Amino acid sequence: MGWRATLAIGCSLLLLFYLRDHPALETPRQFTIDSAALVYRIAAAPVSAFHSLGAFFKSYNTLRADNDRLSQENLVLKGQTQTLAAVLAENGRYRALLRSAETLEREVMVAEIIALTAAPSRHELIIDKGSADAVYMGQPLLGADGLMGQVIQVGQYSSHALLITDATHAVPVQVLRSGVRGLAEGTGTLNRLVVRHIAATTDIKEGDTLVTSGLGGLFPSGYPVATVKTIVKQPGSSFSQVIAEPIAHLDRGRHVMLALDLTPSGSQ
Amino acid sequence: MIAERGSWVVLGSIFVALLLVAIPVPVMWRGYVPDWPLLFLFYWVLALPTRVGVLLACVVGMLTDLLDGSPVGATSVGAVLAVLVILVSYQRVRQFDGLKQSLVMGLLISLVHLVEQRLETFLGWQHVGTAFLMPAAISVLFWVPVRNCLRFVRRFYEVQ
Repeated sequence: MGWRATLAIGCSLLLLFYLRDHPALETPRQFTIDSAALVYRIAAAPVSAFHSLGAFFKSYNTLRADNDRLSQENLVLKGQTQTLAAVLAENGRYRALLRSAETLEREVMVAEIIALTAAPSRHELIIDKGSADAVYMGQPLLGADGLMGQVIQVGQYSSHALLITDATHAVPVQVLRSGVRGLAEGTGTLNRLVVRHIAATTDIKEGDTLVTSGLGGLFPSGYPVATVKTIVKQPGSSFSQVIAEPIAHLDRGRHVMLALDLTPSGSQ
Repeated sequence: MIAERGSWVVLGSIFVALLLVAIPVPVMWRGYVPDWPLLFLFYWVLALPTRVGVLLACVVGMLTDLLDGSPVGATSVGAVLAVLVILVSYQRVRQFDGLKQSLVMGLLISLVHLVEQRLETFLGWQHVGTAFLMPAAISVLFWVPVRNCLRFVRRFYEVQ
């Protein structure tokens, strides 16, 4: 009993502290990530079967209403894209004049959320794209409305992504209105980010939008991250604490987007 | 670890426990899911202490970690320690009534999570508050049903 326990604990500690990121274990690691995704898929099968049954029996009227709404939305979006092309071209010319790097045109890849991982202290998603689809570590994860997180573990056919609200996550942001920069940290609560160390005299207001600043090189600049909810000013302290709510719906939806190609193109 | 007949019953039940963990729940309930793999493991150790022991504990811990996406090995250290406690005192724990046994199991599961939390903090993870102990508290309520179910399964398949 004694030597077995010692062996078991020894192996666990070895795995934890020495072999965790060891390159030699890359293949088994990918395999385990994919197997875990499979277990989540099996466990969720009854639920997703129920959902697809519901979709199957969706009434004709609902479908028609959906269709009407979507074609209207499509029309509006198309209209907006027309002006967008002109604006982009104009923007490109200005940037050329200023000799600054051209903003990148970004492609995205759509992935499906398989599950939220079971650890309650952790905000982590499993998605159904992996290294076979060219997913890489640190790849930004986007929702329809804004930034959701980044990829932290890649399997062959699935990967894990850490959400921006996880307590270990931080993203460099700036205030859209005034350009003030900060670091939005996750708090472990799904609707709360904190920006610390903002000087008390800084131009920041409730309702301001925080977008990614592109500093740090991981996230592309300009994606909406959060809306400022409250600003806590402590008398005597030279910094105020900004509490913000993520814009992306982190707990809703089945699909996410992975940003592709982040190497900036264009001239200096 | 497990060599005689009925091994597949033990391993199958552990797989079922892992599936139970992976069932999707609404975000606000996530912290209140009982720790199925540990409950199942502790039952088997208590029922078959000569066959099920620290090695299965280690494996179950690692599988739980893989499922969580947490660093592999963090849960298994605690699970091995908890199983050692059961192996030393199973004759006494078996005599306890349901309530007392549930409390012991709750205590052991909290031990596992405390060790896990400590090790993960070393590796740069953050746990906010004491919420990580909630599954242990919920598991107390589930020990008696789990024990009765698995006892039925064990007798049905005559695992000894």
